[in-house]
Amino acid sequence: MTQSAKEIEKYLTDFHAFENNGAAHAPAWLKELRAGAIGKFSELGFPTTKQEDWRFTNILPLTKVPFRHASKKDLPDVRPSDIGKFIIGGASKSLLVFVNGYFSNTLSNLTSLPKEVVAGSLAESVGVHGEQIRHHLSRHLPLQSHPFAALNTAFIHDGAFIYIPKGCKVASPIQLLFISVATKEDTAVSYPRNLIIVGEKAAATFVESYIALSEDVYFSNVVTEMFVEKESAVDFVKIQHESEKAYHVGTMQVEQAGHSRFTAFSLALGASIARNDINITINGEQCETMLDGLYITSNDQLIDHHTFIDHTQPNCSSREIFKGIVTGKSRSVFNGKIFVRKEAQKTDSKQTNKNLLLSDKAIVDTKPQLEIFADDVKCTHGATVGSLDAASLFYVKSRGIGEEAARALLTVGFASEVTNYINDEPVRKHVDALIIKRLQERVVNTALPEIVHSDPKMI
Amino acid sequence: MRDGHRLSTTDHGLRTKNRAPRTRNIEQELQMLEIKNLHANVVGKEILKGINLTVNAGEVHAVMGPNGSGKSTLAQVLAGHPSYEVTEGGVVYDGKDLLDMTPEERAQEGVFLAFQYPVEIPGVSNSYFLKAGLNEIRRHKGLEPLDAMEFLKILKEKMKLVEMDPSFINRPVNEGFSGGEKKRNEILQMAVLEPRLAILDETDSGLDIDALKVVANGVNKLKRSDNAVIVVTHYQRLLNYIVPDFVHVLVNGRIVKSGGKELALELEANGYDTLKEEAESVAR
Repeated sequence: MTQSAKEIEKYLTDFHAFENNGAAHAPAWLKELRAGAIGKFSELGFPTTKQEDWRFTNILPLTKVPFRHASKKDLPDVRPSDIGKFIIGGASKSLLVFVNGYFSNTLSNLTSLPKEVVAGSLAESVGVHGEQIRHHLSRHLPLQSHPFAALNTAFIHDGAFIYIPKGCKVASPIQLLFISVATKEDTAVSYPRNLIIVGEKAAATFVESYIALSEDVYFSNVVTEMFVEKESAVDFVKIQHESEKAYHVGTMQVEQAGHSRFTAFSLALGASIARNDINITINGEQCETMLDGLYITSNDQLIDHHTFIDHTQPNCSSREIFKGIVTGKSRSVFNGKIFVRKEAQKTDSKQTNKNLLLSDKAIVDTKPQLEIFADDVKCTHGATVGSLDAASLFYVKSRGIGEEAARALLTVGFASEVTNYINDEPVRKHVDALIIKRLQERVVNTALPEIVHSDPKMI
Repeated sequence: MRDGHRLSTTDHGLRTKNRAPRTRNIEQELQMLEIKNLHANVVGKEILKGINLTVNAGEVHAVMGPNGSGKSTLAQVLAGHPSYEVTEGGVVYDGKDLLDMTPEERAQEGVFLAFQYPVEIPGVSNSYFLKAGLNEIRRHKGLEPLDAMEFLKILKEKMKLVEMDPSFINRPVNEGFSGGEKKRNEILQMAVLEPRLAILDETDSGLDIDALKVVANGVNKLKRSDNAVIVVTHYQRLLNYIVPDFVHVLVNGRIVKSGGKELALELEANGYDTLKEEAESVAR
């Protein structure tokens, strides 16, 4: 069911301009990929609330804005001092910075990465690493059901390309920082495309941050594809802190090979409308998959998480915990789909979505969706929407602490339970600080402590 | 030793053990808690069916009883647990209506409940939590709040009292604590907040003898002539270490017998059955 042809037309026009200019030098396979994708998008159009996957998320406001592809020319000047506070630890030597979707050589710093690691701009890597990129790019992305991912694929140009070779263990987190800055055009859309391959027995932590330097209207349509090879260990953290006038649609596709561990954490604070699709296909046995997240919505925000864990093989475990703090007139959506295929015996899967609904006008929509085709499995799921636990409130108050401060402390407790699952300590501290700041600004009226954690939970 | 000094020691001994008559003035000064005909419900079911109890400063009262008798309910009603509804009777604490106060007001007035099942508060350190509580209590008393440094000094001192490792200072409240550690943490909180009336709700449940001794030791060190303790317990064992001045037996929501510490030993020998039967026949 397509949206008004006029809205699609704008993007098609933009595509033709893109095809004839910047995209003209691409290898044939890439041109073909893009052409196929724009065709798919044209066919599908923008989703409407009549479709099950978009039932609670109306993106009509997004379609009405005349977004134009962010231009590489006249990119605004961003200084290192503008972005220091967004970097884990203040400074990093394993950092890729993008401005409006384009890689910035001057702001990036990759000097601490082991020399065998390949990390850089996707646009610049297509030449040298074309075969590897071609082999992986858009292999498993279900374009037929993801119009925004199709749109991003049509405009594939730049983003991060990272390859961690076999056996290589990267100690410091690799940060991908996507900054959006207002341009003369004012309503730009960027299409960051990230491709990350972690080789057999390798290990790395990635942090993907989406931030704005000012409160403008723009649209980030991002796709990250990740390949977690056999026996590797990957920790992934996404921080979405876009302008609250902006739109963010992110699709993540993860392919997990046998005996590997994949842990993802999503912190969603920004955007007017944000939609995160996280799809993980478990392709081998003895895998561990952890998918956790926290969203805090206020004012008129809408933040939607749609996750999909596909257990195709036996003897794997997955755990999913998403928590939300929903205030004001905001809205949160969570849809957690888990497939356990017929062959996936001995699957152990847990899914939980807990929401703190803190105002009369806020709305929470939560839907677990389990489809189990194997008969020897352990699958549990639960969803709650409510207020703070009365017994816990009583305990805090019985120590002399008043109502407001008691609620504030327990709200911190509610949020910090999920960040416990972030393994890298500096990354966890960075995320905790963002949470405290947001709670202080929008949710509570009293002073808050720095979040502390027990020893990191072992899987 | 001078005569006068010896006399006063003996006098004190007489007062607490034999309940010698006092003058009205001292009675009024010492009386901390007066529970009169207290009836309380939970989910519509009546648990407390008319409790009468008076606690004076400097006293240790034990409340014992079989499971389901209402011991924990009594403790929680005194602290102000929201699930319980008082349907009849009243409680006067320091001359004020206790039931009219919110849980935080009661705490600020010096009431402390050591929970049977202490609650975990992830993300918030023991240190921050206790400092917040103590400063609220201080504010209520018109005292200046303590800053982080001043508080840390006090906390470290108090931790020695319950033999708690300093590493617990920065751990989230009760998170991952063993049963014994949680109970010790309750006594640590009591040591920091310095309540006038402390109610220990089955503090001994789930503790081995060594943990029990540490907890009891902590409680004993905190005893003063101007505070009081109500120890709620099922077993007599704890009372070997926290020696009560008075023992009350609660059966089916009522105090059916009161006595000195020998009553606890009697119960240990004979169990609650006799008293339960007596209570049932009275009810009929």
